[in-house]
Amino acid sequence: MKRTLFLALILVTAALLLSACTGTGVTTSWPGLTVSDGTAYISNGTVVRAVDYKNGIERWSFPAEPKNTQFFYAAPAVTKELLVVGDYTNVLHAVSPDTGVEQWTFAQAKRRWIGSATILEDSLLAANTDGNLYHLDLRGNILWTAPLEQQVWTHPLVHGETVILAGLDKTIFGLDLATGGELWRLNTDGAVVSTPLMVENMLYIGTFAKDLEAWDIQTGKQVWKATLDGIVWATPLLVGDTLYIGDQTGAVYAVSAKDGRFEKIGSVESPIVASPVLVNERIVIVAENGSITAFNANGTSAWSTTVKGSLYTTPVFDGENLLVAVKDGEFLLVVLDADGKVVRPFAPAK
Amino acid sequence: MWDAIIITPFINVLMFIYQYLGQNFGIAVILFTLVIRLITHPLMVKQIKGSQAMQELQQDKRWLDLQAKYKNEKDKLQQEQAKLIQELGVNPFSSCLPTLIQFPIIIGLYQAIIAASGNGPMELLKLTKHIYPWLLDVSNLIPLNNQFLWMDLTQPERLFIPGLSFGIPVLTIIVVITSFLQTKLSMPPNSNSKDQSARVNSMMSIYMPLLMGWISFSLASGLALYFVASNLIGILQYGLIGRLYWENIFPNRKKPAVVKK
Repeated sequence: MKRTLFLALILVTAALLLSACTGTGVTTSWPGLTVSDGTAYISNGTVVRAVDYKNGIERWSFPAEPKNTQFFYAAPAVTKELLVVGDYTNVLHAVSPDTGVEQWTFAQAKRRWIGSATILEDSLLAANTDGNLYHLDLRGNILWTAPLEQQVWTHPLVHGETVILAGLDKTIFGLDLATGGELWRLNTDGAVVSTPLMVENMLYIGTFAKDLEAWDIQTGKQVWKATLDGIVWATPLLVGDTLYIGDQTGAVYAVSAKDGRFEKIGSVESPIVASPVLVNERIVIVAENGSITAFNANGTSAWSTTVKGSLYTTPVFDGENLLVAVKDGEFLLVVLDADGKVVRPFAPAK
Repeated sequence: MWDAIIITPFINVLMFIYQYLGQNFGIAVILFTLVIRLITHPLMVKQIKGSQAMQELQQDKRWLDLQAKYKNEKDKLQQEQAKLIQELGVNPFSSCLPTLIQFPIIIGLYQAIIAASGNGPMELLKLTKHIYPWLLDVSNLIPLNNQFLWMDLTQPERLFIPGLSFGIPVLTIIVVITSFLQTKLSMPPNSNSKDQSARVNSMMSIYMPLLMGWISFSLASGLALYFVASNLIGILQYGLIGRLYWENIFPNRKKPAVVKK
């Protein structure tokens, strides 16, 4: 009998050990951040929060009763009337940006939402990891669905009547906004996990092949390719004729937008996943180790500070405040001034 | 430490197989399982020998005499049995230790499967950090092809049939059946039904498959695929060394006649 009990205990322990050690049950990623009219909308874990960052007050959180199986990490898409955000249970939610009250849901997607939606005048575009781009009206009804046959983690760009979208399987699509039909596609050398930068007819794309690629969408040809030291996760920042970007080795580069010639202007010694942001003519880079570094255009360091936690989310500068969303930190949102001084941190109430 | 010794090497072996043999995660999991079973084959042989030694011991006259003599004195019985085990040089753990050793392999493999799936931004970032740059080129790996037959190996498996409102956990059922078969076929028959070890073995042949089934039902199907591959390869291994006991499944099965020359 003792041996029976002992064996039963072993089996139960094994089951618990397997469950505990396998890391299931808690899905995690980094926060999604969107800023509009003095409010920071942050998707993190089981809730989306609207934070009045000038006063450090949470205005609302959605859903009112969070579920521990429903996760939000895609950055919300926001207009004056609508906030749209997808979750990891495959549901797209439309919520009032003023009150956080849900208006409608779209539940026909088959996999999680990682990329953000793009809200147009009377419709919205949202790409799901089930390989479809959904075009919906502002009540959540399908206008058309474009099958892309690959996961999409980025948000769609609209250029005239063309929807431009980067797929994970090394493809950039150009689709007809009216019908969703494919107009063209470009094949990159590596997987793309960030939205390309579009400037006139040029697309600038960072890839997992450690490249920054420049494509002319009128000719469909690659104009140049700059091979960097590490994986390029983010969308580059264009300042004048120079692109700025960081890679996963922590190196920061200035790349000529005309011909792709580049130089390394510094290193933050930690993986860079977020896009750079322009803060009063300085290029600000955030990194996994919590560092926030501002570079002058000539590559010299202007200021640097560090917050507790990891920084993967692209910061937002509203002209006066630099907002940084933090993963696994003491605060969820840190507001700094243009010189890197922390003005106001925000932590959700427990 | 766990990452450096188990997870990272597992991921790299998995990804190496993935990159050079089929670019399919399901095939990589199956071939990886074959590699693991081949490496642990000596342990398995030791386990079989250990089980056999324990069984022979339990049929030994001295063992039976002790049970009869001290049937009302449990502590004394255990003491004397332990002395006899030591005297005969039998290792009582050699029959179960190899099984226990498999648990960190299962946990490591599952974590490697989830990490290698790159199912979201955080998982993908972690995966890229695990890859040995001197061995593999990340740009050739991403995105990973996680589809195998009808399954997404990063999700629990369900087969949806038109007309049915729920998915059928086909792989879970296969895991339970193959686990049961492997446990039963590898268990030497014990003619003494009152023997405690026979009762324990009988329990294990039910509880283990159910445990494996529950795990397969709940977690990513990549792990269930590992269980199926491991069970089938295990049955093959036992067969190759002549240790498959079909009479446990077919009690009325006639043993092949031995022809005397």
